Amino acid sequence: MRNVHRVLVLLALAGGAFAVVAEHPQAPLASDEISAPELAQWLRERREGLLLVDLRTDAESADGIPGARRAAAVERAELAQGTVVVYAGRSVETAALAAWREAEGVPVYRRLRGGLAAWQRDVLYPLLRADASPQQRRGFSERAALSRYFGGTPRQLAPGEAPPQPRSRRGC
Amino acid sequence: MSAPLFADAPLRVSLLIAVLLGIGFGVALERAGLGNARKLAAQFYGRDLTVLKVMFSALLVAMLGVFWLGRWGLLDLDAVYVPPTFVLPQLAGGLLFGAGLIVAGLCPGTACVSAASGRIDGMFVLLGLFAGMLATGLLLPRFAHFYTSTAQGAWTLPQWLHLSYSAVVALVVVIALLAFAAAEWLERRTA
Repeated sequence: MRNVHRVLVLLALAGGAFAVVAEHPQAPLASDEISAPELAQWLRERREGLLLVDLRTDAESADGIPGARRAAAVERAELAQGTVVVYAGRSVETAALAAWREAEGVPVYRRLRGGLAAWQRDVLYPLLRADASPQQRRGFSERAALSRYFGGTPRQLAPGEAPPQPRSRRGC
Repeated sequence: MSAPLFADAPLRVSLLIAVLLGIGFGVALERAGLGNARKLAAQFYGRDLTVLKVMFSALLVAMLGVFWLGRWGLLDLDAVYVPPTFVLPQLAGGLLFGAGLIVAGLCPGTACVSAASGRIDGMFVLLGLFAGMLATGLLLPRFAHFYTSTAQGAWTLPQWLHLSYSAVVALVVVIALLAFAAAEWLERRTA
């Protein structure tokens, strides 16, 4: 039993120590992924050859990202040039994406990490808490400018002001 | 905090998984001896700190699990719900909960386990718990102002301490291991 305890202690220490080395609790962006702020920069710079494709169904596809085209409306010839960025509500299912790529013959593509939810949270409606650190405050002005460019509403909370909460738990 | 195990699963599947997890949780509590009110009460006399060790173990497993599953791309951290913090109401609720835990010797989870294993004190604690829930529901409108005061939203330790997520993970690991060592020392002293 004592040995089991020692192993568990070592596992916990290793988990904590390697966490410091790993730094972020999210996996680094894969080579075929793009973050919402980076996509926003691309759109703002009017990056040449960028084609943004909304893979959501017609019923879901209200309030998409500006400039996005429905997958069904994209001509095959358009896909052969430039960079194609695809997104869905949250994340693009790999199997669905593979099927779509195969059917359409997409050569170069990126998936938007976190989908439309990440776009809304990180680009359109960034939030700065009243107790934010100076570093967070410095980065916020840039995010706020990007948000306003796309018609979003950046919010800087006053002391004592509570940030908005989702009304219910997702998945319940 | 909570997150859907299968984000796209139908509700009935999620509920079935919740029932299975609940049964597993109850079995684990009973196996750890936490269905026994005397064992829980012994915590407050420093004689048996099983509760503290179980809680810190669960906390470490959950914290390291969330960090590394997120890091390896197996868990979508954005789908993890962080309950909002209301500083004063939760402090008051924590004190009330602690007082109830000392008096009854059981908390809601262990009361269910205790009742399920046929202990009469567990059944009475469950009755009290449901009576308390009913009374709270009926009286809540009177306390609505207090209940929603000092709201902080989804407030996490990294935000509060202005430290990185990974630094907080390492810090909590060290605190938990120190707490384990202190608990063992205290148990030996009071044995």
